Amino acid sequence: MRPLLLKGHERSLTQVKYNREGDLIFTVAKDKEASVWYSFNGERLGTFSGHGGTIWSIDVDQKSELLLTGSADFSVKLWNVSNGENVFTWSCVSPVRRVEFNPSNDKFLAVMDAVMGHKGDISVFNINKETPTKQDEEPILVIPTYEGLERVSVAGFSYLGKYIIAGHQDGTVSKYDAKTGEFINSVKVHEGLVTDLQFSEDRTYFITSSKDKSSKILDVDNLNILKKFESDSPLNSAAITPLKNFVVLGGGQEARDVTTTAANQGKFEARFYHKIFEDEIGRVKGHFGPLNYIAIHPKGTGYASGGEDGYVRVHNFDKSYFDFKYDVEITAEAAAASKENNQD
Amino acid sequence: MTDIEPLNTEGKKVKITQKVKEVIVKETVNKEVAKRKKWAKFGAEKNAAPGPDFRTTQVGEPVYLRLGTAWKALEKEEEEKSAQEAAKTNTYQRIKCRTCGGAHYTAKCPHKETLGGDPAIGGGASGSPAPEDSGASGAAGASASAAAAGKYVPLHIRNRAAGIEPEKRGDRDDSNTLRVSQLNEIVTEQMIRNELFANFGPLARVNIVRNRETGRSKGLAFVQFHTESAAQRAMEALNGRGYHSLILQVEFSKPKR
Amino acid sequence: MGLEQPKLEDIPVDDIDFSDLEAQYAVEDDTSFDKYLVVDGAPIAPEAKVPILTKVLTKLLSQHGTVTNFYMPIEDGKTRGFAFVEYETPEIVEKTIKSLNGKKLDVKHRLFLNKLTDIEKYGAEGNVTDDFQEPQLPPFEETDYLRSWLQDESGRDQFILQKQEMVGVFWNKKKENPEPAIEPRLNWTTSFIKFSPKGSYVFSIHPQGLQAWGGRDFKSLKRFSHPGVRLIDFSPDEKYLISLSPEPIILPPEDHPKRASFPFGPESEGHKLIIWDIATGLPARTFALPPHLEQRKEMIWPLLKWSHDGKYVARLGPNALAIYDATEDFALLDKKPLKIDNIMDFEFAPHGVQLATAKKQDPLTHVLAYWTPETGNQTARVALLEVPSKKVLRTINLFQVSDVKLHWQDNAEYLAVKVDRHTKSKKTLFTNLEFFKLNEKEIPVEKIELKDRVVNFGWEPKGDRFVTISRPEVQGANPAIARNAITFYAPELPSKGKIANLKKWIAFKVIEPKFSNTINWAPKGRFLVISTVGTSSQGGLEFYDMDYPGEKKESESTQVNAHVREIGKLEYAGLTDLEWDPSGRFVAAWSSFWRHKIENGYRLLDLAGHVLREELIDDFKAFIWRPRPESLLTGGDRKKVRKNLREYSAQFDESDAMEASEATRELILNRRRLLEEWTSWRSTIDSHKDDYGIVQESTSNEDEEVIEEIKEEILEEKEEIVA
Repeated sequence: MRPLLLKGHERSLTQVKYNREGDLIFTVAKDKEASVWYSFNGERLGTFSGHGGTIWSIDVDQKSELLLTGSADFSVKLWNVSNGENVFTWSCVSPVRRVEFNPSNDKFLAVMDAVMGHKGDISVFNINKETPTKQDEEPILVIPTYEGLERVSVAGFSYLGKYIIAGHQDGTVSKYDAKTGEFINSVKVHEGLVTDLQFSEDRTYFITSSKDKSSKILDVDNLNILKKFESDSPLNSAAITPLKNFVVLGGGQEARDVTTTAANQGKFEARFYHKIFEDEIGRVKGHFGPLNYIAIHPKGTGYASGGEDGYVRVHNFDKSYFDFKYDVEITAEAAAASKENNQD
Repeated sequence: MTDIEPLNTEGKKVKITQKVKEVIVKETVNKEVAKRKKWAKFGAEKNAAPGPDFRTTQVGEPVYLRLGTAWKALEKEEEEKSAQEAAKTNTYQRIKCRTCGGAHYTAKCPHKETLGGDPAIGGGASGSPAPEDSGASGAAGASASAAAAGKYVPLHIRNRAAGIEPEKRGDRDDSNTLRVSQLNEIVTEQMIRNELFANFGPLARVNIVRNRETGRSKGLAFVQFHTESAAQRAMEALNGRGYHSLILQVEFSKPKR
Repeated sequence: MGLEQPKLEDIPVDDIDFSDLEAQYAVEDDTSFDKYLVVDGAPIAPEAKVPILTKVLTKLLSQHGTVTNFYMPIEDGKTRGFAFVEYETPEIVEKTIKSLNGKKLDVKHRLFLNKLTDIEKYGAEGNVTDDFQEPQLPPFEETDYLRSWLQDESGRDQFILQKQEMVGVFWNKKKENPEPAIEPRLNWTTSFIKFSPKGSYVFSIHPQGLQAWGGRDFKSLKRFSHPGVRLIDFSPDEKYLISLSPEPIILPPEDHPKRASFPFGPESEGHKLIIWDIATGLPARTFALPPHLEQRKEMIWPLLKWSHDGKYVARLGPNALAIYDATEDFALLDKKPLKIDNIMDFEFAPHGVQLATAKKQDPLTHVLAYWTPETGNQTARVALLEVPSKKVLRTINLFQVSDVKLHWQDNAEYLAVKVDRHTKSKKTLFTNLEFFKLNEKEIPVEKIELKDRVVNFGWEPKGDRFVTISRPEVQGANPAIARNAITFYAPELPSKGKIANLKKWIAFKVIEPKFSNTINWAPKGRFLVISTVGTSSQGGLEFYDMDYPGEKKESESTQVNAHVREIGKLEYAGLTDLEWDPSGRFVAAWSSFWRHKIENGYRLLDLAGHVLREELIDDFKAFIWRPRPESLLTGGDRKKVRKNLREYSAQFDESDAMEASEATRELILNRRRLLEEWTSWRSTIDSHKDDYGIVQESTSNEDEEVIEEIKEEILEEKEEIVA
């Protein structure tokens, strides 16, 4: 496959996202400007400027009308996707590490960093979809960092927006009622910072990635660890592929930890694992620095990775990707198929 | 468009030139998507021409994703292959000065005077087995060794002592070649490749010495490896081993330098 | 009368000792009727003709010894149609009966000869009861299911390995060690061991005869007593076994206790060839070896050839062909052999023939082909004969013929006749191939003339393509130089715009020079192995695919429906034999101790020539695949299998991998468990979805439209090193 290289950012990428149909890719980096691209040909549609610092996070609503960005400049901004207009800005108490719409797009959460005495929290805001320029300044719910846990690094909404799941700096994953903010339970999943948390298509399970070089799949309902993926370098991102039973992990030794970058040029890789069998089944090379974020096309036909090197690489899978199956899977399918045939 | 990549795999600056054509592709998509396709560009892209801009968008070099639990082995295999190919293309660099080891002809060596000329002629600097060479050091002493012994040493052996084979067969490099003798007559090239030497690394060449008239094997074969270490391992493993009722004798086809 | 004679009555006879006289004059009391023969069926003649009739019969009956007494009873002035004949010894009686019993005297009269003792024994009233006594049936003995090996779950094939004095039956495990089906047996057979054509039985050879084995544990099923047996063969339906021994059958003497249980009757005395009914273990028919074969060093085998369905069996006699009906107790068709002068060889069609003259619903015709050589003014001939009508369907005349070989295509659509001809000087040989097209009207014959001599010919099974190996015939050629050519033939495709032209075979590929001498087609066609067998230095196998899927090269012929490509190759110096497995997926190649002692052992290859297994075994003798009966699948079943082949093959791959090692097995089982766990977890989640109120988004194609996009396409990419 020939990837498309998106070179619109001057500094490391922080997050990359597809919209619901997968025709647009939204990218944010440490360079204060967000970009939107057509995924088909890599053409940049436009940029969103206004932030005064690193943009840590970006999210787009289901209809690809409104866009949220959370920045280190202590603000969350709401944008009009079609023309790049900044329609509203929320001022926050600390840098914003993550923003995410709930599934029905009437609320969003913002993860507040713990800096300058602030202990960090998850703030939930209402969204006024009718007149986007008029929004409530104040959050409707603030979930402070739970007693005994370190600050929240990532968070997201489960199916139906019922729960909020958060990943913490100490490797814990915790769960809250999204309406009341009530703490439900927490599980120590990783030995280090939880760097990413992405949900499955139906939001009934999710995958985490961590600096402890592993990635795990957990059940939303009981926070049971279902799967575990081991790697040999710190992980920054993990994503679940629709269509195929794979997961894609991204990461790499950080630049300052690597002695000779020249030797490893272009060898920062996206790692493919089998979601059920937990085996590593392949890698894609290309980045010149660690992979900071991996986003899968919503239809499962490709993926985009944002790197420390400032590039976004957009890949469309070859036929072999779709054909690949374990013998066990083929056998099981054949058995199911023959069962069906017999019933006819 | 062109792009200069800082360094390529061999550590050289490389200029990559791509000729790119813009093509129009028709695609069936969701209505919403189609609508978005007609949006005017904004922000930094305001008023930009339709189609991708090469300053921000580029088609990358192909990358490969070969799925399978054995992907590591596959990758390794490929790396080895490309390394071998690289080794092949690098053969032109084999010119090596015998005096100083530099990449020039020995005759043109700038250190010719200071280092005392061709050690092959001199009889070898340090590796010489001449027993009476105890006190003498350097090229001159060694060169005297053959003569000082006072007996005739055939030319090829004299040279062998020096660790250099006479240049018989052009420039063929025989340093990775094993000489396998006491082979059973029925042994074929195929058997040597697949049975005897299958596990020591890739083979460059296998030759069985045959009677020119009858085509019968003379029980002698030459096996060339790509690397000396592989050849060494094979020799250690197979020398003295029984194969088809005979005990193999495996040695380097010429003594190591 | 002075002296009175004593009266005879007064002499006390009892007192006289006559013993000396009795001894002296004793008449040998010959009460045995061994020397008597009863002739039946003689003409009933008036008294006047008795002398002539007596003369004729006496002369006829004294072929094997003098008639010492001839008595023909007369009643009412006429003979009664029978006579008593006395000979000097009982042996003459036996011989006479053997040669003349059933002799036709004229159109109306046939002589029947019997020993007088037999008439006494069986003819006299009361000696044989008139009441029918039901024969005692031996209790039924259950045998194992003879086709149990076909029920193997993974459908594997079995084979026999014969090494030293051991014989073992194994399951084919491809790369892995073959799995023994039974404990290998020491001295199971004294020479070879052979499967019956459908694999139900295996026969071992012993000095006393044969033994049949079968079932899951290869238990002994039946014994066939045939001392000194050398060669065996079977009817194609596995009903009959044929055995040949150089030792003739000798009946034990009449009064010997063994006589009662001896399976052969007196008519089999001296016979060497036996047809056995395998199921009962009893002989069905015996034959004497024709005199011209008695002296042969190397026996022609099989001596009996069967029609495809086992209904007819025929054997070659001097100037005649004897055809027997196996369903009628092996009675000779029309009670006499078919006279064909100088007949050299014949072959039954291996399949019923659909003649153009026959109606579709008629049963297929039995056909055989034979040939006769040139004699005097006669040309050589190849003829097709319909059985049982003995009607000649087609003949061709040939001249300057030195040898003929008959090669039936296995569907009996074609008969290829390889005619080796010589030039007038008789110095060089060359071959013509004559093709009978049996399904066409009047059975047309197509001819291919070649410059070289064809040494080997092979039809593609179920196909209409064939391969030949040929070489120019040169006197005193150096055998170390390869001279053979492999030629591939296929029917010419009808050219465009023309109506299907007559079937013509064209040589579309020739590979030369080669040492190859043997053709082995895969049992299902398409693939074949061409090998060099029996020469210690050049041995090897080459695998060809006749329908190679790739594009044809420009140089390759497009006139035929075939694309041949070498797909594998293996040097094998010691190769003596090779055999495809019944499924056509594997080839066993071996070097047999019976042929030479070079590298004895076997190799198991896949159909592309990759070596799966190799074993060097001292004194390795043979590798024998167990044949399979024809498949029970219908055409529809086959289609279905072919359609789902991908899925099946995945299952097979998996079971193969599991076979490969315990570790992989564990891994696969573990993966199965993982997959199952995941699917079941997902299905519980899915079933909860409704409770949660999660609605699956439906994506419809309705609101779609076509747009145009601009995309970059790389035309060229150059990499230059910047100095």
